[in-house]
Amino acid sequence: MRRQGRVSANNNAGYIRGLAWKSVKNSRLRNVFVILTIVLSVSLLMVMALFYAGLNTAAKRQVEKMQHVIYYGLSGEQLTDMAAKNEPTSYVLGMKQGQGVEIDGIIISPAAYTSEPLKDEGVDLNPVTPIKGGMPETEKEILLPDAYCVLAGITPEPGGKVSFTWLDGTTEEYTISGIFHAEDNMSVYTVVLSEAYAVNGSQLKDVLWQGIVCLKGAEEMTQTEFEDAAYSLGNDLGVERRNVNVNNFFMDTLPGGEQQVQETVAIVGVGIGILLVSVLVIYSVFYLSVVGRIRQFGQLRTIGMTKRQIRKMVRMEGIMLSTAGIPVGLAVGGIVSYFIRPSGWSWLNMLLISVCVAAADVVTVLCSIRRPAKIAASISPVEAAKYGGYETGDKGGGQKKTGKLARRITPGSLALMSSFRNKKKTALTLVSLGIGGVLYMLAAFWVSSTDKESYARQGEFAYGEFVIDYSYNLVETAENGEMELRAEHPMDGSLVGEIENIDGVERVIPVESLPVAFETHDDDGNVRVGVVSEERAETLRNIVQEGYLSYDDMVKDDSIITTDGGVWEEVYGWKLEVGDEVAFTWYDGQQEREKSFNVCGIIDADDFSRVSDGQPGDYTLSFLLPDVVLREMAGNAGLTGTLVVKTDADKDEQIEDGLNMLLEEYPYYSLSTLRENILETESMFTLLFSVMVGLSLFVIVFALINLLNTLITNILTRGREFAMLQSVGMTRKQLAKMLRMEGLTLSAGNLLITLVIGTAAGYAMIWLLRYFGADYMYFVFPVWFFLGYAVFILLVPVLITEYMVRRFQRQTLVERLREE
Amino acid sequence: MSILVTENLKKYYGTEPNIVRALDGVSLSVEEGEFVAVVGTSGSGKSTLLNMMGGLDKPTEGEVIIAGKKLSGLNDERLTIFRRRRIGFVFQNYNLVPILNVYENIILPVSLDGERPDEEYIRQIIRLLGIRDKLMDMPNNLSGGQQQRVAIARALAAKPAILLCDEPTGNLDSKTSQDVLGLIRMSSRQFNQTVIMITHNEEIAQTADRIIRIEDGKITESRWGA
Repeated sequence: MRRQGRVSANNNAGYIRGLAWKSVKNSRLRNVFVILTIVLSVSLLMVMALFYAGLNTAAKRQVEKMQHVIYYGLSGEQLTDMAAKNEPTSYVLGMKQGQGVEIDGIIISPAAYTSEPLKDEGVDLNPVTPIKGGMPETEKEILLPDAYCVLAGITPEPGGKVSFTWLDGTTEEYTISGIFHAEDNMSVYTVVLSEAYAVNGSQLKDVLWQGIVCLKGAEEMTQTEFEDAAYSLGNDLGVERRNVNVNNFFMDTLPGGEQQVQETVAIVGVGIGILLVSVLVIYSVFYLSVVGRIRQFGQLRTIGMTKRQIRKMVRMEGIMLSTAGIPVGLAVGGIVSYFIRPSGWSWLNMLLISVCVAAADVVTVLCSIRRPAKIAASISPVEAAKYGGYETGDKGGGQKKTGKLARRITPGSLALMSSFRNKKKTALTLVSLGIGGVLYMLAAFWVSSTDKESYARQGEFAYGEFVIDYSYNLVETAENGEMELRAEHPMDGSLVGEIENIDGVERVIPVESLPVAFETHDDDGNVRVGVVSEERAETLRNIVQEGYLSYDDMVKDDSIITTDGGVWEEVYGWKLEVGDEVAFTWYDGQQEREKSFNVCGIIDADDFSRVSDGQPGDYTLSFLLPDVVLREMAGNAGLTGTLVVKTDADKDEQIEDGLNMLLEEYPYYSLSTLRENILETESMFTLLFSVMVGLSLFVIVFALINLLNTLITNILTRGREFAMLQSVGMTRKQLAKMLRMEGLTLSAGNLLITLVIGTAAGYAMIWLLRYFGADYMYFVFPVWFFLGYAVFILLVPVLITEYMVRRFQRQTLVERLREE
Repeated sequence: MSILVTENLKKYYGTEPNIVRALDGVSLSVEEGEFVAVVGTSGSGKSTLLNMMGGLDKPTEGEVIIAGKKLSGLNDERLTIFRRRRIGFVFQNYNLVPILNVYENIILPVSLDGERPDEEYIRQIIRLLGIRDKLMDMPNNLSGGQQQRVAIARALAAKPAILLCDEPTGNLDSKTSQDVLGLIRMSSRQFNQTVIMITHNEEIAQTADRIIRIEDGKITESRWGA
């Protein structure tokens, strides 16, 4: 009977628990540190996990009421087929959208839905819900948006009359069947007509249907499966790929996306990082707590406690502290997450994540105290009696002799000796403090290295501070689009001259391109063709991936270069190859023309975006043609569709006023400014920066707990040693100086790690971000962030030391000398 | 000439009716170069008296005067400096600084004063105490007797006028005790230092110039010895 032979096998769990409880009650300071660490790590994990889960929940809730796919250009028959029983659809609603018309600067676009979904297997999806009245039923009924009624002075009451003159000149009168809600200040408003109107009404009868579709079981699919399902349904019913519009927002909520995998990996990575930092902090708190109680463990061993029982007791202390810290952390994390994103709140998520986080933290605590518990258990009674709190006493492994007869003895040098005598403890604190510092520096580098102006200076703003375009609404409503406006209101020399006359304007750069409709590979679409000069042809020749670029050949053979290599396949599913024929249709200011070209070379879109002689408008182009060819094609409409204004930065404000005044005479132009772009960028980054800084503050609190714990434990456990030094003549000032130096040694070590490793990591991060396309990031050392951190980290030991020295001075030397 | 005088020294703990009178009006005077043994039972107040004399503890009432200087008139900082220059302590449990080697422990009070140790004098002490070959050792590498020798050397290093010893042989075997005691006597004679030593051991006490007996915080006997 082996069990009976072991004392530790007795049922003494209750007694051990009692001892552990007494020990917990007696080390308040340590408890505060450990519980704080647990609360911090649990709440941080909770907030992170719940925030991420909340994002998904909120998105899922939103997409529950959204279509999965829209199929364009459907005949009535195709639409009906889509709703057939054997098709993999769970919801099909027909819709038609007609040509919009501009009324008093606002575009009104007619639309109609089938009165009932053609198929509905319990999907709750309502594209339009009337807030007053009902949906239009007869050909003469209309549903209006409330915001438009206010704008146009229409009484928003069902039964009222309203009439519209459509783009083809027909004027029709309708009875208001109801009102639906729309946001204010939109440039385009949709008005909803009936199914009967969709079939017979003048504006919609010739328009093809759109199918608003949900797919069966799409929620359970991966992103690839979903995409395949959406395209193959289109394929089966003869809908071209470019007429299939997959709802990306819905798709992003499905598993299997690259971005989603990256996000999950990032979240898990950060989570493990937090747990590792917690392990370090809890480990060092417990390590110091055990080391401070070596004599106590020795006494317990002397009176008969087994190693196992000591280990169990220390472990139990950890579990008791976790029991106190984890629920608080869960609650704090839950509350914070709720307030961050109430729409993403889910009790199920909270429950599941709580269980996981609690389990992870219990494991963390148990891992953290495994080693300290082992140390406690391995103490022999004799060792404990001799133990002075230094490694030299541990199993004789430390220093026995010095190499020098006498080292310099000053409070400073004593502090250094003290810091180095327990290398493990010092290293541990430095590592955990260092991690905090390095993470903080990464956030700081990110903030300081982001050049907001550079970010705002993307697109045309890379070349100037103001951009003048044709008014979007007018372009959208003109029969021949932008080219018609170019012919009627050219951005010619006189306009450029007027702009250049404004004080402070340095240069006006015309951006040239020709908007065309293309046809190739049985597909069509709208793109822009740019000019290539003889000179530019030389530069671009080096980046042609396939084929060859020769200016003269292009002029001679009607050949063309595409600058969208790689994009065609992504968008249309086919690859544009050398030798392919592309037919263009365009308006030259007088008539519509057509011409075909052969692809002679392919430039990758990424390479084109990084080309050294980049020009404004490059990013909008899909093809390049020689200047002589393109100029002839553009006819009297010309090639200029945008003007970029480069100015003297000091006079931006008055130039903006000047341009606004000038453009009041030309209402068909619209002005965008770099200033507005920067403001927009700033508001975007402010949120991002506060999240980053918030996260790093959390990390600093971790580091701070660790630093405080080390400093305070260090002083508390050495009361007798200090009394000893004071009894042989160390003054209070000298003692305070020594302790301050010890603390500052830690701080200095931490600052060194933070500075060196943090800067290296920051540099690597910026390099990586730039590599992945964040061209607006420039390596800038975060001087103020670092100085702030340094002051904080240096101030803590000074204050804590002063406080602690004052605190133990309250006891007399004799009392402290008697302490065990 | 009296190097140390205590006037009606009192140290009370707690309040009436549970008041503990650790010292209850102790007045004595010690001459320069004298070797005084303070004896008494456990809890009689001997250690309290020694701590008051060394300025480690403050009396409830009364005065300690060393070399004409009243300790109560010194602030904490000046008292510490006074102590490291004029008083040497030898404790029962040695109280060596664990991070310093033997030599560094010995010269610690001098170093804390920002002074250079008198090397010739220190060498003399080291030779006298027989710890020449241990100078670079760390304290916990030494036996109890060796540690106490180091503590004595440290107490002597600043050439103090007074050596206060609180049961310096309490943790040592009888042979080592005899050695240590002999060393204290020898060094005090050689350097003309006053020694006040607490002991339980009557035999040791008998070797002193004077024996002071304390009971319940009061001097009950003061007689001149051998």
